[in-house]
Amino acid sequence: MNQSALPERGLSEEVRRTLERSRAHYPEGEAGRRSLLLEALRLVQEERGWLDAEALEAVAAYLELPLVDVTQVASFYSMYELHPVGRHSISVCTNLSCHLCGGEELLAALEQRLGIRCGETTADGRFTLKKEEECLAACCAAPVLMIDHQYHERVRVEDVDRILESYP
Amino acid sequence: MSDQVRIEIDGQVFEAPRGSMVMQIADQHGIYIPRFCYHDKLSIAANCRMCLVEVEKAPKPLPACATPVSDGMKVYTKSPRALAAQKATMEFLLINHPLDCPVCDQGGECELQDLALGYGRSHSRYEQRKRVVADEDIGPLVSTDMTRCIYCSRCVRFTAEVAGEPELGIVGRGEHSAVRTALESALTSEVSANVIDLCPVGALNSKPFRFRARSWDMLALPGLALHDGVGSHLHAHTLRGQVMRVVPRENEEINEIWLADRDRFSYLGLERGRQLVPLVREEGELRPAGWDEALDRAAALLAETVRAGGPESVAVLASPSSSLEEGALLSRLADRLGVPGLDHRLWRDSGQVSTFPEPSLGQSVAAFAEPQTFLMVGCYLRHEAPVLNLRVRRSVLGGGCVHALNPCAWPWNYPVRSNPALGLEGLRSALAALLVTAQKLKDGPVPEGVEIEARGSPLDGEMLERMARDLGEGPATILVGETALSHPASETIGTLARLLAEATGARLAVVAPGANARGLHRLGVLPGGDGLRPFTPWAAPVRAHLLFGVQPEYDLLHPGRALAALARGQSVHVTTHLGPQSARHATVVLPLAAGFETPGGWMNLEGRVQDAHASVPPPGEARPGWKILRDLGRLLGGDEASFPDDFAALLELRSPLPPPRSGLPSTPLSTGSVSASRPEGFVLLRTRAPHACDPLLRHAPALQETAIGRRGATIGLNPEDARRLGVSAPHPRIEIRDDGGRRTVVAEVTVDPAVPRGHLHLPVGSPALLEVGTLDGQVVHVHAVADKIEVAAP
Ligand code: SF4
Ligand code: FES
Ligand code: FES
Repeated sequence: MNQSALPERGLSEEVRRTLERSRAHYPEGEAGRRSLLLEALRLVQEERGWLDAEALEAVAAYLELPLVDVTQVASFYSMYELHPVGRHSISVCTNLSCHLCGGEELLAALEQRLGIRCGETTADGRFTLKKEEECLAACCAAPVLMIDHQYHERVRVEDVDRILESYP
Repeated sequence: MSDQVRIEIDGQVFEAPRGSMVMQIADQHGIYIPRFCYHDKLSIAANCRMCLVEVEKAPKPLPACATPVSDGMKVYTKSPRALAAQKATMEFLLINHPLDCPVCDQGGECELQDLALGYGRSHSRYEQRKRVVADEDIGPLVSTDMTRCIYCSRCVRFTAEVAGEPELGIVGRGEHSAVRTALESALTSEVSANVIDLCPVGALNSKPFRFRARSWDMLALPGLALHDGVGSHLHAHTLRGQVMRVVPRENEEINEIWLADRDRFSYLGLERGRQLVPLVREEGELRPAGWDEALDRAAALLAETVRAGGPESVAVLASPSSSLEEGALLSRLADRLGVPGLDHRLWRDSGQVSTFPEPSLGQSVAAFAEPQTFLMVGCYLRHEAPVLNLRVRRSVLGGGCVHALNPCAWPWNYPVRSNPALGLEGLRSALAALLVTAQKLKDGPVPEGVEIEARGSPLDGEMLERMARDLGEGPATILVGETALSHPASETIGTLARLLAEATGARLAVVAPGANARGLHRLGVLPGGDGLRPFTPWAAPVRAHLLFGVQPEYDLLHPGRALAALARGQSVHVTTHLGPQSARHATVVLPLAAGFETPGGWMNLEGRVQDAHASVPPPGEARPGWKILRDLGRLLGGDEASFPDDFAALLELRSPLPPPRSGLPSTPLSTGSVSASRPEGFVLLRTRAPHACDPLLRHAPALQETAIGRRGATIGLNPEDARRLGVSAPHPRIEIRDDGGRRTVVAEVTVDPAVPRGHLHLPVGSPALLEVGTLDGQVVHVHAVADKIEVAAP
């Protein structure tokens, strides 16, 4: 029941424009709107940094989908952030190949260097260490870490400082 | 290609329709395949894997619920491979499920427990820690033990598919999945508690029933739901003479396997605020009395009032949920007294003669699920008859469509083609305009007066045409609901609806409130016995009232008038619960047995007479209504034949029911001009609060705490009006002054976009709004009550 007025803050003009263009690539009707959901969430996240309840509601309202469906999708994919994150997001792969090549040590070094645990954000809001990253699909270059969608391959513990410096 | 295939299940050969699933065919022939996620009222999810069976030539076991039959298919449900697969699934399910059935409320009626007995190992090979899932508060009706959830997704599918209010989802992934609401909020649907029955484990249970009894200790007694005219079947589970909980009783033709939340939890009112002893007024005070004394006083009061003031000086008002027996006795009692003033239509606003036909659906309950066009006229079916509305939802999903003409743009749980917020006056003119459009489309004559009625209709031609076309094409039903029946111009609306039905060939359904409106109408619990007589119960010359099962301060749409009349005269209250104002004015109070405590028959809106036994004895000295009315009748000189001693004789008297009457006169439409000017101030729009529309519901605390219950205790105000008035969160309140400026009351507000501008939606029935309810007149003036700001209404 819509007992209270919906929040009037919605999606930004820009996100709307992009989504309007994308709509053409999807089927008409609900199926199409459902398919557009992943993209909509990604765009909003890029704009706002993370997806709060208000953002989810805005996406649900725009795509005319039940809020709970949007929540289910957003909480399923680890790429969507449902809690505040730092400016840069670091993912350290600890799946099989990386594990064998020192991924765990790399993660431990990063945790120590940043003073945070997996899933946490540094006090200055600069870095977030992503929780539980699985195979980043670059096994041939293990161990791998990814910062803001940029891959760093065959990373050694001694490289960590240098890499971090390039993300102010 | 024929539509039938032959398949073999466990060596038996069956014909099966192409496209059906192995599980369905096995079920039809009594071959049991274990399952958790499969449910024949829900879509197929195939996510629990409990139903794995062996299929010849298939390399791996297949889920029976999602494997379509094919010609020559051979299925083995109990072969070693099938059993091994089922046992493996069970072992996986039990890895994370707590093994503490003795402390789980579902114990004894748990599908997991039952199947674990058949398919589980006697002890677990899993020795690691089990996962734990945090519970969420999803409202006052459904308790959560989410650690017990097995992710069958039945509850999720129910809210999305059946209830049409997708509120539950599986949030998170893998080990972190949990069934959750989107915003950690309470369930809002009017049928939400059905997830309790669907959940195969103890994850979702009845909160009010939690830890109160064990399923094997209780008796399951068949009964009926008495809060609307659907007549849903239920089981009252009782223990030592007490109703412990209520669950649906399956009946494909009526409620299938569903129950509205209010039907499931109204039993909570059986134990709260009950009137336990007879009372009589002496020297201005009510005091307890014996039954004999109280009955004597009541009979004498009624007889003397008639003797002194004539038959018009007594009015008899009964709850629309009174049983057929009670109805029959009430009309005999009125006959005995010679009193014409008798009615059960508590919702009526005017004393005018009513020309509404007998309440009915114009078809069976089940037929509402067939694809057709529905026009809701002053009808919010979702709240008025929740289970019937689920059928309408199915119709819509199957290609039907709905148009609504309501004062408010109520939110529906299915897509509707139109749903304007018309306000009180707009409802009438829009309906007239629709009739004009329908006639013009088929070049029919527009009856006299209709064009005038249609003036000022807020709807545009395009919308009207679409409605008229949808109604004219194929099967259609026009539902006249509560807001139409209680509208100040209800007779005009009724006539317009009837003419529209004639013009479009649509069926007419009159969805009157109460569990027995149709039966009481048929029995003549109406003014003069046929309703063709003006009757104003709250005005002179009426000086004494007999109220049967009615709380006048809450059950009437305009309690102000009633309470003033009660204060002036004398009254006999036969009631389960005595309200605060009634206690001030009553002369005699007779404690009444509630539903669940009395035997009787009720006629549902489709015309089906259903009988129920009492499930529990009434509390204290309360007595079933038929006994009270019988005794009153005998004291008034009635004979054994009309007021028989035992219930069996009464049943004979009640049947056969008289046939429905036909050839009702119709109310002439206005020939003068209808004023289109908007009054100054706010129009009060009264509807019955769905969780507080009879005494039992009102006293069920859990129902009051639901979203529907809380909304029913607050005034609805349009967001723009709220902004203009400066009504502010978090506890917005307004001050309401009646038109004459004589009284001012304060009430809490819900800002509700469904309410049209310039209107206040006043749900009637909740004690919280008693004061507002007693305001007189249709137009009121409003101020915001804020800490500092105070903005005056225009
Ligand atoms: S809560 Fe119950 S019905 Fe819902 S998914 Fe879990 S086990 Fe199934
Ligand atoms: S295991 Fe690390 S990238 Fe594949
Ligand atoms: S019943 Fe078939 S997979 Fe659940």
